[in-house]
Amino acid sequence: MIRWLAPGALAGLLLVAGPVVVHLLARRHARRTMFPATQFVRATQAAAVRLRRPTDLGLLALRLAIVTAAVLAAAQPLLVTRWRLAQWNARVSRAVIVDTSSSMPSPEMASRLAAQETAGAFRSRRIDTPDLRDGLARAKTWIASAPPSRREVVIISDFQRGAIDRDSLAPLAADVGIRLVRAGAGPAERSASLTAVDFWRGARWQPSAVVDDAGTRARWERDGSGEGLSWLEVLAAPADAAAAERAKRAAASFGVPAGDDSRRVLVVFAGGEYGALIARTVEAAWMVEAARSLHESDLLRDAGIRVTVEARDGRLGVRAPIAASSSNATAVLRAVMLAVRPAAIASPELETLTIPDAELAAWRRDPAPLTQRDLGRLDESDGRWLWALALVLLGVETWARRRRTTTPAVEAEADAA
Amino acid sequence: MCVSPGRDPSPLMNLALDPGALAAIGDLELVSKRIVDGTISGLHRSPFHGYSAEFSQYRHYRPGDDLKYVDWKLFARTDRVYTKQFRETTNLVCQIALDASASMDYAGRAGITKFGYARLLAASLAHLISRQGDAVGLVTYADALKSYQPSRGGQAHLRSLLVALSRTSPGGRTDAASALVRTLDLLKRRGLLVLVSDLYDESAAVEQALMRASHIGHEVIVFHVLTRAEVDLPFRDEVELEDPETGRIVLTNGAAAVGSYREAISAFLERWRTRCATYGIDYVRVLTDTPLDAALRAYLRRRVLGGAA
Repeated sequence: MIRWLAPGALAGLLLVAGPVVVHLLARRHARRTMFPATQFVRATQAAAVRLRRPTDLGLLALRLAIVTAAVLAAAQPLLVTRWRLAQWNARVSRAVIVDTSSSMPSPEMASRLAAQETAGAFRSRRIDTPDLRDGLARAKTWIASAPPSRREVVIISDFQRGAIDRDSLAPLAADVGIRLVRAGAGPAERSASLTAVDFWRGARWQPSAVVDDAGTRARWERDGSGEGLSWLEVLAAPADAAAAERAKRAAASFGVPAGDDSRRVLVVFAGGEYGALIARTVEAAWMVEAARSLHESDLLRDAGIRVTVEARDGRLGVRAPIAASSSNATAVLRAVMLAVRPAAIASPELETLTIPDAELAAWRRDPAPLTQRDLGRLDESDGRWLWALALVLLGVETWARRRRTTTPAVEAEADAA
Repeated sequence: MCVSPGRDPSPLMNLALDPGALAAIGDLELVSKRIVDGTISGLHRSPFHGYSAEFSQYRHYRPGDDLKYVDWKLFARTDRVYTKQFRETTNLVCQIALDASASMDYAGRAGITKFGYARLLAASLAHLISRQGDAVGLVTYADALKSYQPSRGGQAHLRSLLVALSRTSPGGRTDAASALVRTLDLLKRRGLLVLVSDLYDESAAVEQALMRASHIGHEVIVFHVLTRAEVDLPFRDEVELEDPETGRIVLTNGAAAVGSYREAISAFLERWRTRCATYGIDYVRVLTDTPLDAALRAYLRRRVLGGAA
């Protein structure tokens, strides 16, 4: 069976018409030479000679063969023999996904296992990622471009529950093998401090979480009175100044995630002005993220308010088209607080449960042998032999062309007697 | 004198007698000697016999006698017309007529032109005849006589003949008829006329001149010199063929024309063979890629064995 790596090049077979046309129609330049016996030479009409037949069928055949060989070589044919198929099946291309998430109990062990997996492969790619799903997507892309060989994806992880599931593996082709190698066991219990919350019940509260096989336990501890709200400035019409202050306190009473005071915000209600602050392009990452969050805010959507965002001398400016005395002013300010200081949620890395070995074993499958139909990306061809043939034929054609004008068809013997 | 190649100190003896190689050697005397040495080895009889005549007696004039044999001095003294009669001797008088027209300046694929080959042939014949002690002369011609060396014997004459031969170069159109007529006029008595040419001048006048030469008793040998290219027409593509004498240009396709050409050239060669046979003329066709000594030896051997004279 022949596979063509560049089948589009076969369109070049139309080029074989070139030599035929040249032989049939092209008027070669007639060279002039002295010849004393012209009285015996019959003059021929050049056009009639051209159209009658090709002048040299052997040479034409050679030229056709050269063009054909070159075109076929450009199409990069690959003869898929049983022997070649067996050679390909004897090798494995392997994508090794190494879980680098913080939950991994022993990164060194994972590295060592990855080295072992890549060492025996024909081609291999190590993919370090904290997100196994992302690693699977990258592995799928790479392995699709692997040369003909059996293909396999190896995942080295602690396999926290939720890190991966059967659906995550579904996009991999059916012939791609899957192996899941567990790299050590995590601790029986994990704990973490979460983002503190200011102003809830008039104080600062520090939440913490403890996760073990039994479940998750959260603990809130009072920790002082919390930071001020100096990072949030409200600008409103002078008549609404008191209302603006009330709205600010009301919004803060829900609790404000503690954060960096460098993120300063100006909220401008109707009647308020930025003053001399210079407008600038929103470039800081936190401002972009806050703008996105405001755009998607459920609070604003429910209130039917659209705010505009801009940068003003290093501050995030948020202009709301309502007065500070409006009942929705608190919703605007609350949305701004959550957008600028997003609350951290508990990391899935705290999970202590892992996917059972039996489940991992059920997901495992061996790489399927290659078939004539599905060879993957072919990276070699037999075109070089056709190129060599074309070169040899070119040499023969040159030799024949030089010899043609000097070879008599019949050698008449001199009659010396 | 027959020189053994193994004892000849001349490096020429070590050369194969390839016409092209011999033509590259400027010394025509040396080359012709080499060819003759190679040619006559093995020939135990002289290939040429003469028709010279000695005065024998007078007889009364009869109508029809050639007036040139009338002894006018005796007529003045005796008032009677007598004709001189001669008796034949074996002395040979040879006149070589060499075609030096432009058509002879063609080599084809051979390393030597037809003229170069014909010149070597003429020199070798002159050498051979002179070595026999006979007289040899030379006429070179194209549209007119280019050079004339009367028939004489002797080494000095041979040398001057060869010098004249080496100084001749081909060019011009062919007028073989007038050259032959002139040559016949120059031959004082019955002898040997050797014509070396490509014979492309096929005019009736040429035929008449040869017929006349034969009828008045000359032995005539025609060496028809051709290249193999002229026999084969080796072209396969479209080619413009220019006649070196007439300047006529023929555009043809070699592959398409080769069949008719070979028929035509075969008919041409056959015409000359028949024509010469009709008048008792020895016709020898030689191709320039044939070693000269081999061609010459084959002809002379046949001549000796066949008793031609």
